Amino acid sequence: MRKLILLLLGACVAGFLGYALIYHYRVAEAAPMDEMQWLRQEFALTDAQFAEVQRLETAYRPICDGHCLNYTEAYTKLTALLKQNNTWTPETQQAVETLYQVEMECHRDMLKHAYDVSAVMSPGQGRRYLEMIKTRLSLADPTALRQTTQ
Amino acid sequence: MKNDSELNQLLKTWQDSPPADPHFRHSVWTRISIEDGGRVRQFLRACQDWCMVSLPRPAYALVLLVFFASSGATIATITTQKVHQEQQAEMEQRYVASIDPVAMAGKAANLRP
Repeated sequence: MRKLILLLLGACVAGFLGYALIYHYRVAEAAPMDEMQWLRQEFALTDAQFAEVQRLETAYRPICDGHCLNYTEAYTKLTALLKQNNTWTPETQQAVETLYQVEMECHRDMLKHAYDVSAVMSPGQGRRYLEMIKTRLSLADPTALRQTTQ
Repeated sequence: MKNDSELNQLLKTWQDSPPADPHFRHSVWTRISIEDGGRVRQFLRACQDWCMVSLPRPAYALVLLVFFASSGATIATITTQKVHQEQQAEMEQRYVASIDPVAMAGKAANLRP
Protein backbone atom coordinates (compact mmCIF):
# COMPACT_ATOMS: atom_id res chain seq x y z
CA MET A 1 0.00 0.00 0.00
CA ARG A 2 2.84 2.35 0.93
CA LYS A 3 4.56 1.56 -2.38
CA LEU A 4 1.39 2.34 -4.30
CA ILE A 5 0.90 5.67 -2.51
CA LEU A 6 4.53 6.62 -3.21
CA LEU A 7 4.11 5.65 -6.84
CA LEU A 8 0.95 7.74 -7.23
CA LEU A 9 2.67 10.71 -5.58
CA GLY A 10 5.61 10.26 -7.93
CA ALA A 11 3.24 10.12 -10.92
CA CYS A 12 1.59 13.38 -9.84
CA VAL A 13 4.99 15.03 -9.47
CA ALA A 14 6.02 13.74 -12.93
CA GLY A 15 2.79 15.11 -14.42
CA PHE A 16 3.32 18.48 -12.79
CA LEU A 17 6.96 18.63 -13.92
CA GLY A 18 5.97 17.71 -17.49
CA TYR A 19 3.36 20.47 -17.45
CA ALA A 20 5.65 23.10 -15.87
CA LEU A 21 8.59 22.42 -18.20
CA ILE A 22 6.58 22.59 -21.42
CA TYR A 23 4.53 25.58 -20.24
CA HIS A 24 7.66 27.51 -19.25
CA TYR A 25 9.41 26.65 -22.53
CA ARG A 26 6.48 27.61 -24.73
CA VAL A 27 5.60 30.80 -22.85
CA ALA A 28 9.26 31.90 -22.92
CA GLU A 29 9.26 31.17 -26.66
CA ALA A 30 6.30 33.52 -27.10
CA ALA A 31 7.78 36.35 -25.03
CA PRO A 32 6.37 39.77 -25.89
CA MET A 33 8.32 41.71 -28.51
CA ASP A 34 8.01 45.04 -30.27
CA GLU A 35 5.81 45.40 -33.35
CA MET A 36 8.68 45.48 -35.86
CA GLN A 37 10.33 42.35 -34.48
CA TRP A 38 6.96 40.62 -34.54
CA LEU A 39 6.49 41.67 -38.18
CA ARG A 40 9.91 40.30 -39.05
CA GLN A 41 9.20 36.95 -37.43
CA GLU A 42 5.57 36.62 -38.52
CA PHE A 43 6.22 37.36 -42.20
CA ALA A 44 9.63 35.64 -42.30
CA LEU A 45 11.48 38.74 -43.50
CA THR A 46 15.07 38.40 -44.63
CA ASP A 47 17.62 40.92 -43.31
CA ALA A 48 17.41 42.93 -46.55
CA GLN A 49 13.59 42.90 -46.52
CA PHE A 50 13.53 43.92 -42.87
CA ALA A 51 15.96 46.81 -43.51
CA GLU A 52 13.72 48.03 -46.35
CA VAL A 53 10.58 47.72 -44.19
CA GLN A 54 12.32 49.71 -41.45
CA ARG A 55 13.25 52.40 -43.99
CA LEU A 56 9.61 52.60 -45.14
CA GLU A 57 8.46 52.74 -41.53
CA THR A 58 10.84 55.62 -40.75
CA ALA A 59 9.61 57.52 -43.80
CA TYR A 60 5.95 56.88 -42.92
CA ARG A 61 6.23 57.82 -39.23
CA PRO A 62 6.08 61.67 -39.68
CA ILE A 63 3.08 61.28 -42.04
CA CYS A 64 1.32 59.06 -39.48
CA ASP A 65 2.10 61.49 -36.64
CA GLY A 66 0.79 64.42 -38.68
CA HIS A 67 -2.48 62.63 -39.41
CA CYS A 68 -2.71 61.64 -35.77
CA LEU A 69 -2.50 65.31 -34.70
CA ASN A 70 -5.01 66.42 -37.36
CA TYR A 71 -7.46 63.72 -36.35
CA THR A 72 -7.19 64.58 -32.64
CA GLU A 73 -7.76 68.24 -33.43
CA ALA A 74 -10.75 67.57 -35.71
CA TYR A 75 -12.27 65.14 -33.23
CA THR A 76 -11.84 67.51 -30.28
CA LYS A 77 -13.40 70.37 -32.26
CA LEU A 78 -16.40 68.28 -33.32
CA THR A 79 -17.09 66.92 -29.84
CA ALA A 80 -16.84 70.45 -28.38
CA LEU A 81 -19.33 71.76 -30.97
CA LEU A 82 -21.72 68.87 -30.37
CA LYS A 83 -21.59 69.60 -26.67
CA GLN A 84 -22.11 73.37 -27.10
CA ASN A 85 -24.92 73.46 -29.66
CA ASN A 86 -28.39 72.07 -29.39
CA THR A 87 -29.09 72.88 -33.04
CA TRP A 88 -27.40 71.85 -36.25
CA THR A 89 -25.08 74.64 -37.42
CA PRO A 90 -22.97 75.10 -40.57
CA GLU A 91 -19.93 75.03 -38.29
CA THR A 92 -20.88 71.59 -36.96
CA GLN A 93 -21.42 70.36 -40.49
CA GLN A 94 -17.99 71.67 -41.43
CA ALA A 95 -16.43 69.96 -38.40
CA VAL A 96 -18.05 66.62 -39.30
CA GLU A 97 -16.83 66.92 -42.87
CA THR A 98 -13.32 67.81 -41.70
CA LEU A 99 -13.19 64.84 -39.32
CA TYR A 100 -14.22 62.37 -42.01
CA GLN A 101 -11.90 64.01 -44.52
CA VAL A 102 -8.99 63.58 -42.08
CA GLU A 103 -10.02 59.99 -41.34
CA MET A 104 -10.19 59.21 -45.05
CA GLU A 105 -6.69 60.69 -45.54
CA CYS A 106 -5.38 58.66 -42.58
CA HIS A 107 -6.66 55.40 -44.00
CA ARG A 108 -5.59 56.25 -47.55
CA ASP A 109 -1.99 56.87 -46.48
CA MET A 110 -2.00 53.88 -44.13
CA LEU A 111 -3.16 51.59 -46.92
CA LYS A 112 -0.57 53.05 -49.28
CA HIS A 113 2.10 52.33 -46.66
CA ALA A 114 0.76 48.80 -46.23
CA TYR A 115 0.95 48.20 -50.00
CA ASP A 116 4.53 49.54 -50.02
CA VAL A 117 5.48 47.18 -47.16
CA SER A 118 3.77 44.19 -48.79
CA ALA A 119 5.69 44.85 -52.02
CA VAL A 120 8.94 44.30 -50.11
CA MET A 121 7.80 40.88 -48.86
CA SER A 122 7.68 37.64 -50.82
CA PRO A 123 4.41 37.40 -52.85
CA GLY A 124 2.71 34.93 -50.52
CA GLN A 125 3.65 36.76 -47.34
CA GLY A 126 2.75 40.09 -48.95
CA ARG A 127 -0.75 38.85 -49.75
CA ARG A 128 -1.15 37.55 -46.21
CA TYR A 129 0.07 40.88 -44.79
CA LEU A 130 -2.41 42.89 -46.87
CA GLU A 131 -5.19 40.53 -45.90
CA MET A 132 -4.38 41.15 -42.23
CA ILE A 133 -4.40 44.94 -42.71
CA LYS A 134 -7.71 44.86 -44.61
CA THR A 135 -9.31 42.64 -41.99
CA ARG A 136 -8.12 44.85 -39.15
CA LEU A 137 -9.32 47.96 -40.99
CA SER A 138 -12.72 46.25 -41.40
CA LEU A 139 -12.66 46.68 -45.16
CA ALA A 140 -15.31 44.04 -45.53
CA ASP A 141 -17.25 43.22 -48.66
CA PRO A 142 -20.46 45.36 -48.51
CA THR A 143 -22.57 42.53 -49.95
CA ALA A 144 -21.39 40.27 -47.12
CA LEU A 145 -22.20 43.01 -44.63
CA ARG A 146 -25.70 43.37 -46.07
CA GLN A 147 -26.23 39.63 -45.76
CA THR A 148 -25.18 39.58 -42.11
CA THR A 149 -27.49 42.45 -41.17
CA GLN A 150 -30.55 40.89 -42.80
CA MET B 1 -68.79 -46.86 -14.99
CA LYS B 2 -70.85 -43.96 -16.17
CA ASN B 3 -69.49 -41.81 -13.38
CA ASP B 4 -65.96 -42.78 -14.33
CA SER B 5 -66.42 -41.75 -17.92
CA GLU B 6 -67.94 -38.47 -16.83
CA LEU B 7 -65.08 -37.96 -14.49
CA ASN B 8 -62.60 -38.75 -17.26
CA GLN B 9 -64.36 -36.35 -19.57
CA LEU B 10 -64.26 -33.66 -16.93
CA LEU B 11 -60.60 -34.25 -16.22
CA LYS B 12 -59.83 -33.95 -19.94
CA THR B 13 -61.48 -30.61 -20.26
CA TRP B 14 -60.42 -29.23 -16.90
CA GLN B 15 -57.73 -26.58 -16.94
CA ASP B 16 -55.90 -25.18 -13.94
CA SER B 17 -55.05 -21.48 -14.19
CA PRO B 18 -53.41 -20.44 -10.94
CA PRO B 19 -52.88 -16.69 -10.38
CA ALA B 20 -49.44 -15.43 -11.43
CA ASP B 21 -46.91 -14.87 -8.66
CA PRO B 22 -46.88 -11.08 -8.17
CA HIS B 23 -43.20 -11.19 -7.07
CA PHE B 24 -42.00 -13.36 -9.96
CA ARG B 25 -40.52 -10.54 -12.08
CA HIS B 26 -38.91 -8.85 -9.06
CA SER B 27 -37.34 -12.05 -7.82
CA VAL B 28 -35.86 -12.80 -11.28
CA TRP B 29 -34.27 -9.35 -11.48
CA THR B 30 -32.98 -9.66 -7.94
CA ARG B 31 -31.25 -12.94 -8.82
CA ILE B 32 -29.76 -11.36 -11.97
CA SER B 33 -28.45 -8.33 -10.08
CA ILE B 34 -26.88 -10.55 -7.43
CA GLU B 35 -25.10 -12.46 -10.21
CA ASP B 36 -23.95 -9.21 -11.85
CA GLY B 37 -22.91 -7.70 -8.54
CA GLY B 38 -20.79 -10.72 -7.90
CA ARG B 39 -19.04 -10.32 -11.26
CA VAL B 40 -18.45 -6.62 -10.67
CA ARG B 41 -17.09 -7.32 -7.21
CA GLN B 42 -14.78 -9.96 -8.66
CA PHE B 43 -13.56 -7.57 -11.32
CA LEU B 44 -12.96 -4.77 -8.80
CA ARG B 45 -11.12 -7.18 -6.56
CA ALA B 46 -8.88 -8.23 -9.47
CA CYS B 47 -8.17 -4.58 -10.27
CA GLN B 48 -7.33 -3.83 -6.66
CA ASP B 49 -4.99 -6.82 -6.49
CA TRP B 50 -3.28 -5.76 -9.70
CA CYS B 51 -2.82 -2.20 -8.40
CA MET B 52 -1.41 -3.37 -5.09
CA VAL B 53 0.86 -6.11 -6.42
CA SER B 54 1.75 -5.57 -10.06
CA LEU B 55 1.60 -1.80 -10.49
CA PRO B 56 4.45 -0.98 -8.08
CA ARG B 57 6.79 -3.22 -10.13
CA PRO B 58 9.48 -1.13 -11.87
CA ALA B 59 8.30 -1.71 -15.44
CA TYR B 60 4.68 -0.73 -14.75
CA ALA B 61 5.74 2.10 -12.44
CA LEU B 62 7.94 3.55 -15.18
CA VAL B 63 5.08 3.37 -17.71
CA LEU B 64 2.80 5.16 -15.22
CA LEU B 65 5.36 7.92 -14.58
CA VAL B 66 5.96 8.44 -18.29
CA PHE B 67 2.21 8.51 -18.94
CA PHE B 68 1.64 11.18 -16.27
CA ALA B 69 4.61 13.26 -17.44
CA SER B 70 3.49 13.18 -21.08
CA SER B 71 -0.10 13.95 -20.08
CA GLY B 72 1.16 17.01 -18.20
CA ALA B 73 3.19 18.07 -21.24
CA THR B 74 0.17 17.61 -23.54
CA ILE B 75 -2.07 19.69 -21.28
CA ALA B 76 0.62 22.41 -21.18
CA THR B 77 0.85 22.39 -24.99
CA ILE B 78 -2.92 22.77 -25.34
CA THR B 79 -3.01 25.53 -22.71
CA THR B 80 -0.17 27.49 -24.32
CA GLN B 81 -1.68 27.13 -27.79
CA LYS B 82 -4.52 29.33 -26.58
CA VAL B 83 -2.03 31.79 -25.05
CA HIS B 84 -0.14 31.84 -28.37
CA GLN B 85 -3.29 32.57 -30.34
CA GLU B 86 -4.21 35.41 -28.00
CA GLN B 87 -0.71 36.87 -28.20
CA GLN B 88 -0.77 36.56 -31.98
CA ALA B 89 -4.06 38.46 -32.17
CA GLU B 90 -2.77 41.09 -29.76
CA MET B 91 0.46 41.60 -31.73
CA GLU B 92 -1.51 41.89 -34.97
CA GLN B 93 -3.74 44.51 -33.36
CA ARG B 94 -0.75 46.38 -31.90
CA TYR B 95 1.07 46.46 -35.22
CA VAL B 96 -1.94 47.68 -37.19
CA ALA B 97 -2.64 50.30 -34.50
CA SER B 98 0.99 51.46 -34.73
CA ILE B 99 0.54 52.37 -38.40
CA ASP B 100 -3.07 53.59 -38.11
CA PRO B 101 -3.18 57.35 -37.33
CA VAL B 102 -6.79 57.14 -36.13
CA ALA B 103 -5.94 54.40 -33.65
CA MET B 104 -2.83 56.30 -32.58
CA ALA B 105 -4.94 59.41 -31.98
CA GLY B 106 -7.37 57.41 -29.90
CA LYS B 107 -4.55 55.91 -27.88
CA ALA B 108 -2.74 59.22 -27.38
CA ALA B 109 -5.73 61.32 -26.41
CA ASN B 110 -7.95 58.59 -25.02
CA LEU B 111 -10.45 59.32 -27.78
CA ARG B 112 -13.00 56.94 -29.14
CA PRO B 113 -11.74 56.47 -32.69
